[in-house]
Amino acid sequence: MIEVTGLCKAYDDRLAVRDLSFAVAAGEVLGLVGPNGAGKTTTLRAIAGIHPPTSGSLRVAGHDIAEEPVEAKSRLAMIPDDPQLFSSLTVWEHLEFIAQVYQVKDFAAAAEELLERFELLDRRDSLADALSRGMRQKVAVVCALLHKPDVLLLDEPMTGLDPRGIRTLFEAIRTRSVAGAAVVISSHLLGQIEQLCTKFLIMGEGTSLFFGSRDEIGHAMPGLRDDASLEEIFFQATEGGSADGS
Amino acid sequence: MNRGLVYLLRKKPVGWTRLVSRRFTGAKRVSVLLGIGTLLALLVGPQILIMSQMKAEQFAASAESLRLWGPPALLLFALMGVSSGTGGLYFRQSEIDFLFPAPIGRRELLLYHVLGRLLTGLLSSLWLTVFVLRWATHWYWGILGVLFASWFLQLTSELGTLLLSTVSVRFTRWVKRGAWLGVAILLGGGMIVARQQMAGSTLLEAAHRVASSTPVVVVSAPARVFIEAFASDTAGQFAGWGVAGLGVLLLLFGLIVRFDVAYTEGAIRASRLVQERLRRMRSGGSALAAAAPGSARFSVPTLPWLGGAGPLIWRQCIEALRSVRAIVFTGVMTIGFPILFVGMQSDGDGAVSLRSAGFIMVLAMSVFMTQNLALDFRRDVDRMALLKSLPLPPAAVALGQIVPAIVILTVLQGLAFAVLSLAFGAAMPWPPSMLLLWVPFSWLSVALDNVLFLMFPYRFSAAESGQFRFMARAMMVMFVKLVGLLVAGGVAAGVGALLYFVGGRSLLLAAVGATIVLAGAALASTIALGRIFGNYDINKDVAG
Repeated sequence: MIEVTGLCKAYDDRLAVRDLSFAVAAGEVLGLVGPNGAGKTTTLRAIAGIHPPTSGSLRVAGHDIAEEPVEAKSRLAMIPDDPQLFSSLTVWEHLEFIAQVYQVKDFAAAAEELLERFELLDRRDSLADALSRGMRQKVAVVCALLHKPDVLLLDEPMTGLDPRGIRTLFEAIRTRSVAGAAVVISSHLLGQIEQLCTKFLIMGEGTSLFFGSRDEIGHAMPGLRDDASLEEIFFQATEGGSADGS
Repeated sequence: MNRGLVYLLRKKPVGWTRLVSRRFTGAKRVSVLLGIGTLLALLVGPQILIMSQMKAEQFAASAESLRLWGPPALLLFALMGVSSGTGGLYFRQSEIDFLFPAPIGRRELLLYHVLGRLLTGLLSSLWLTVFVLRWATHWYWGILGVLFASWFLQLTSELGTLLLSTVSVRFTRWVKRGAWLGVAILLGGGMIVARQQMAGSTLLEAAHRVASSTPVVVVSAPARVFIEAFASDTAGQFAGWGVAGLGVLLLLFGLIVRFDVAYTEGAIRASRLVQERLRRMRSGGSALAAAAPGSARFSVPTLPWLGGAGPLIWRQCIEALRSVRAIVFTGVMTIGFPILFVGMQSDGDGAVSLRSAGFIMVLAMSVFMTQNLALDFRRDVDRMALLKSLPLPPAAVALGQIVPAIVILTVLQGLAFAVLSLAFGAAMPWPPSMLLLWVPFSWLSVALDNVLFLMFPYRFSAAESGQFRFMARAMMVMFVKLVGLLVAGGVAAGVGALLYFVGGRSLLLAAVGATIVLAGAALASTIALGRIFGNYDINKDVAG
């Protein structure tokens, strides 16, 4: 569903992503992890067609994002970190707007169901400007799910969400992946995404350090226990040390 | 165009009205409306009065002057619009988050962006009309002319930005600098040649000659149609110039939409820069706050304790040092305008009094330039919790917060006074002893700014630029501040007059008396500021 081949992204003199290649099949949930500045957000934005790649190819649901941007984008949804809503639109109007952009017919029932699931039904007529950080995040999630995307990209989606919100979000991600969507989730909360993701891509300084399932990555690292946590794997991969810094 | 984009464009005015009405509810709405109404009446009233008193020949002279200066000025504004940009089209963060990953074509998004800007131009042109309508022969052609000119500025800015986004960031800077250097050389060279040709001419006469020269007339021809439309005498005239203006606008619009360039990355970069700038200027909109912090190479030696105010003054001084470019900009405005004003006067009758008016202009900067020197509580809206937690008396915090702004303002004004006297031999319109008033007057102005800010705290929301809300609030604050300054100034003038007559017509005694009253008012305002800060509830500190 997502094919990234030899992705390079440069900002002026700085190379943010270097020769990155990976693929996410339908039904898979990829955890994108790495220290700050590793190139996670740049990678997600490139897949979403926000940043044009400097070189390399990106395919979403069979469409090249550079050649057929509209077709590719119509199959994906992205939730940025700290999403900003249209402050003068109500929650419901956001959904109305998304329904028009993605040409979702008869969206009302699905929208109400999503609002209820994310405990936003009583805020449907509130202006986005009046919402808390967590609620804005929930609105962005609901907007992303409304058109049932085949590719779901989430950049630090748990920030600001309460425990109930995180649980609902994870349920929604599982539902989408069971329905055949490819999901990429970037997060620093390793313990939380560990059980959700089927594969992991550990990035460092713009490159792929490890890619595969937790077991595959664990086996590739000598000296690591079989039941090592994602956190331990992460520190081993990025710093060559253990979680406690030793 | 994508239906979602049409929906957003349709919702813009409705949403904007809803947002504004939600912001100002109950008594706040009444007071804001009253404030805006009063200020508009103060701005528009005198213009209507002037228009009603003007004779036909005065209108003709005014229109002639407009036709001379208007086109190059409009073109210069257009150039400023392009060069002051951040190197990319500005999209709100919400637009980037929702529209950039959406299945919307690049050209469609560009069309939406430009239409949105033109819609915003409707509002800004109405605002601009308030200030320029007195130069129009008929108000209705004037309003339409301003609208067209405002759209011209918007479209040239968009086209210029698109063109610049095709080159790298570093090259963009050089292109902008080169363009300004070219304009400066052209105008400066023109002025020198004009003055050489017209021996003994004033700056104004030389500028007149440059503005009416063939190169300037030819280059500014596209802008001329809007000025002519604005100054139209008859419906026929307006129809002709208006159609020509619409033609220019359509041409620019067509060029923008047809210009298929990958602008999204530049737009994200530009929008991030604008967001950062907005974050820095949350409280004020000042040049000082908007400037990015400079190099940490230089520092300031620590100051004495000064009852607890010393460390805060020291911290503000460091911030001032690292915002030196913004302070220089404020200085250029403070000193430059009066000098330009005085320099352009001829040596004819009334020149002396006009030159003296330069001094009044410098004093007036105490009222208006403090907005650009928000080196006080206004800049620390995000650090109020920290300031509250400091083991210092509130009065010391208040003093420490405002002293650097007062010192910088008075030093800039002192420089301006000195330049006016030395360079132009301009006479002060009052005795030198009256200059004593200037320091407490500036102190009072800064203190009042801060009192009003702590009473009605405000900062920009990161989500929206909130320009209108900021504008409305700035107008309100200015109005209340002017009332405060007038009351204090009135009492000081009364005391000064009393001492003048009681003390045997001594101007020095009158000045000392008035200065003591103003200093007392400034001190009282500072003490009040300390009290208000002591009682300040940081929960009031909400994003706009």
